[in-house]
Amino acid sequence: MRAILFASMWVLASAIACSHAPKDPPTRSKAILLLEQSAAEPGTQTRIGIQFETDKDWHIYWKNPGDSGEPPRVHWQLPEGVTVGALQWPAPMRLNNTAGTDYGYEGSVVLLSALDIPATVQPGSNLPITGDLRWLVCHDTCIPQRAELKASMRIANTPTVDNRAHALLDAAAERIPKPLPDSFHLMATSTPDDLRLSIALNSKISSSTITHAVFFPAEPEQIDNAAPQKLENAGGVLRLELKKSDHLQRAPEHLNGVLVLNAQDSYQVEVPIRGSTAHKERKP
Amino acid sequence: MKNLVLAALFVFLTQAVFGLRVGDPAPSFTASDSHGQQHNLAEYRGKFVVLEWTNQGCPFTKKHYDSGNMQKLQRYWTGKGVIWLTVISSAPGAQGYVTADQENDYLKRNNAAPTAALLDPNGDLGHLYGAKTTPHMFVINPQGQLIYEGAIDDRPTTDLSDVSGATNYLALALEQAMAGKPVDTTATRSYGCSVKYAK
Repeated sequence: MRAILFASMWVLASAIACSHAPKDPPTRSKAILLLEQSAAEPGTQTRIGIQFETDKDWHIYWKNPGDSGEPPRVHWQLPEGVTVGALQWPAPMRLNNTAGTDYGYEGSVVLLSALDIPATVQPGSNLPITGDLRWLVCHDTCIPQRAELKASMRIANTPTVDNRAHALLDAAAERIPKPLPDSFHLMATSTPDDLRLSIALNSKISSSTITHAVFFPAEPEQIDNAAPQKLENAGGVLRLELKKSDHLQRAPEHLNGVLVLNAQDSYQVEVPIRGSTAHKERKP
Repeated sequence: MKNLVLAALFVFLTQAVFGLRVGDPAPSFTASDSHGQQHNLAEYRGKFVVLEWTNQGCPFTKKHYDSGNMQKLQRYWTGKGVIWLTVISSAPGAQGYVTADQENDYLKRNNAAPTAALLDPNGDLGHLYGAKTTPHMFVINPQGQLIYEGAIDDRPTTDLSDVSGATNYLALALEQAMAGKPVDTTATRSYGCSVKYAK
């Protein structure tokens, strides 16, 4: 009897605790629209960006979120003739949790896009730039957030640069993965359990200067996100071993993604995968 | 619980090292539901079994419960003889952890209709199947083989308006398998919140 009484008191206590929980969870991040130019010339290209700031320890996601999560998505509404390029994403970081590994950003990050102003717009007019932005911010729990991004860009014969936005966009552009320099030769091979990325450097650069390498897959289900990535230096050729995803149903033809070296330099990777072993052998 | 631990250990040693894959025998388990009933997977040989990982507080899960989508799927497929087991692997103190009474209240409030809701606070069942997200769906055929594993549908968002118009992988797998056809999409990337396992 006493046990039942205790149990019901406990349930009552937890019910009260639940009813006191806030209905709308507090937001854990904010997003701001950046325009590089407050006034732009007709027929030119400029840049816009979305600056995210998360609370400490909270994160948002890369375009491939990894094992869980959701990347930010924006739907732009632009005046006729104005076009916006695809979002460009800085190299992410690995975010480990008890169920797997995600890819994303903590703290401050800027995603940027090119914006093309048609030659037909009249100086003196104003272009409204609006975007419906949805994103997910997570720590131990996740909160979906939504914001209406809104700004107005004046059309003028002389452009006016917003210095603060310009600096932020320049810094963001620095973090966008670069094309692989000619001094690097990448090769990807497939083994029964791994996809192996080999990095050969020309003689000017010593492979021993690279002590740390992380690959971020652009496509889900190519590699096992949570598996450690082992870097080996085999006679001047660096080899990064990426464990294949258990979900691989057919051999991937290309390895696409971002390679981050020494935790600072990031490069775009798109290499054909060679190897006779198509994919993990199924157990009988 | 001891059974589950032993089963988990056994399968971990023999299988989980290689990861659970579609076509494999579904690992056996025994687990308790929110009414204190024990469920042993072997009892359901001869029936299709769905495993649905859930977390009440997760916005991806909420999308499917607030829209009524999950309850509709539960009703429809259990009506066709499918055993539908909802699994909660959130650790005590983590988001989604519930007592049996809290879960029963939730099922009633949401008009949910799984065959049973399995309580897995130690995460044994979750780790046994490699459940990564909520939701994360598994389909087991009457022969006890895993025939689908992954996302509930092809819209990896928290947006309620994405439920209608989505291709539901779970329903497709069940429809095709029940019609004696091969399942077209057998594995996808599950999407959602990470399962809140014990740290």
